[in-house]
Amino acid sequence: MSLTRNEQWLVRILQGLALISGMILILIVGFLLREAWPALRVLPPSRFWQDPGWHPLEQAFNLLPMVIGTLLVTCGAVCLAIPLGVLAAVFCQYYAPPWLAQGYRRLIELLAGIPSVVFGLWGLVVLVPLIARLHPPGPSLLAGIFVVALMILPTIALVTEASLANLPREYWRGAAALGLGTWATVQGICLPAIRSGLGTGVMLAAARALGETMAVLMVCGNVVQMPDSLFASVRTLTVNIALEMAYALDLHRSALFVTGLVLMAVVMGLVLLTEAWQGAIHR
Amino acid sequence: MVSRALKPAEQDLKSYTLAQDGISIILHRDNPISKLSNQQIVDIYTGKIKNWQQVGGQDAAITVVNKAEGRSTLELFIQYFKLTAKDIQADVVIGDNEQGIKTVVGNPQAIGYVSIGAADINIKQGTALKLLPINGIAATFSTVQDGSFPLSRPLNLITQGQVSPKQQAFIDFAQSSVVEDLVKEQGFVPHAQ
Repeated sequence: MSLTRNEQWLVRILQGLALISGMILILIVGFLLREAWPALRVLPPSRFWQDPGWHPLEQAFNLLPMVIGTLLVTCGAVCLAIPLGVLAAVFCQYYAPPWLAQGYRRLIELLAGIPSVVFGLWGLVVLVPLIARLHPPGPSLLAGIFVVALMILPTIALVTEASLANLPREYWRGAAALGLGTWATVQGICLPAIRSGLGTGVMLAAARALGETMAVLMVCGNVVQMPDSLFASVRTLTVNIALEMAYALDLHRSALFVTGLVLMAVVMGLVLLTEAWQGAIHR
Repeated sequence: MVSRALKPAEQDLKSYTLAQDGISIILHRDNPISKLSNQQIVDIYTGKIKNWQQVGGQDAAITVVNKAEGRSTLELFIQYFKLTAKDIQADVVIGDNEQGIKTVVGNPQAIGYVSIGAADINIKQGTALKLLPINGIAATFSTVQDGSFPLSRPLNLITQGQVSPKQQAFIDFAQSSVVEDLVKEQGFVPHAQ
């Protein structure tokens, strides 16, 4: 089937737009590589995980504790936010009376709209002193997990709810015909049916958690170390860039761009992992 | 704007001092400690002293608040106490002065160091904070002013290459006595004096 003249134009425009969005990503990676090059040229790669700590002014550039810190904050927050988000969506969709469900949904949407710096400020002046009383010093991995979990909770809740709302009515009729109760239907039929949508929601949430900077900077303590407990201080990759970029020169600055590259690699790993998982579901 | 004197490697730049500021140790107002010797401060920051009891305070673990690498406050602090950044065993690393102040206010067992100007404004507003003397010299406006406070720094404007007439006019204005009240309002010592 040949395309009409109008359609040919449309295809060209679409190709152009697709090219632009692809190019932006490539340009960003290219820029990161260019800025990181002075450090990558001088330092053998092994120094980024074998150096004794991160002291850029004294030529020590170990990024490994920050990679671990990033993964711990992200995993912790996602593990905390999944049950809360999914249960909130289930409550909203199946258990709450309509007037309450409506209000509850608005509340979660509002939570999604709160800027991260506000969460950070709340964490710094409310949550951190509370944790300090429980187990000093206060700014810790735990505080970071709580704050980030709160921030990604709405994403998971809203995506789950949208997936549940799109389920065919027949599922419920079939379950009712089998004599299943509400909870049995939800956990036996509805939740397994939305696995793929839930996966997308979790990936979006995890990506936001990985990229979160301001709030984490304010509550995590930011010491570069392998945390030995939930109450220990950690620094994530994003925080490293935000905390030091303003005052970094020469090799220090370049090493911060290497930090950015490593962060890109971690995000890419997450995307690949999600795709593999979704592929496994569909097979 | 640079909050320290220029380094030898930065001599291609020209600096114009606007004000003097000091750096001192801050504690929570409820902390009974009222002075620490230089050696005690060094020991706390290098992790040799871990409990306030060892310097005459309550039985509680010390939370050491340090600045992020590259900050001039950190550079001046380790230079004065003859430390290197590696020696410091921090519990919390912060960015700007305000974050340091909020961290100490939120944790009565914390010790930190910030710009005297920034701490001063907060104390005047009733924040639960106190400044400690260094080497027996109180961290006040007048000790920074007469140069007796040991840990002080100039706050500079810097330029590179030829200065345009407009830039020169701004620098002159920023160094003039007209802005003295603004500088004092920030807790810093005006340059003109």
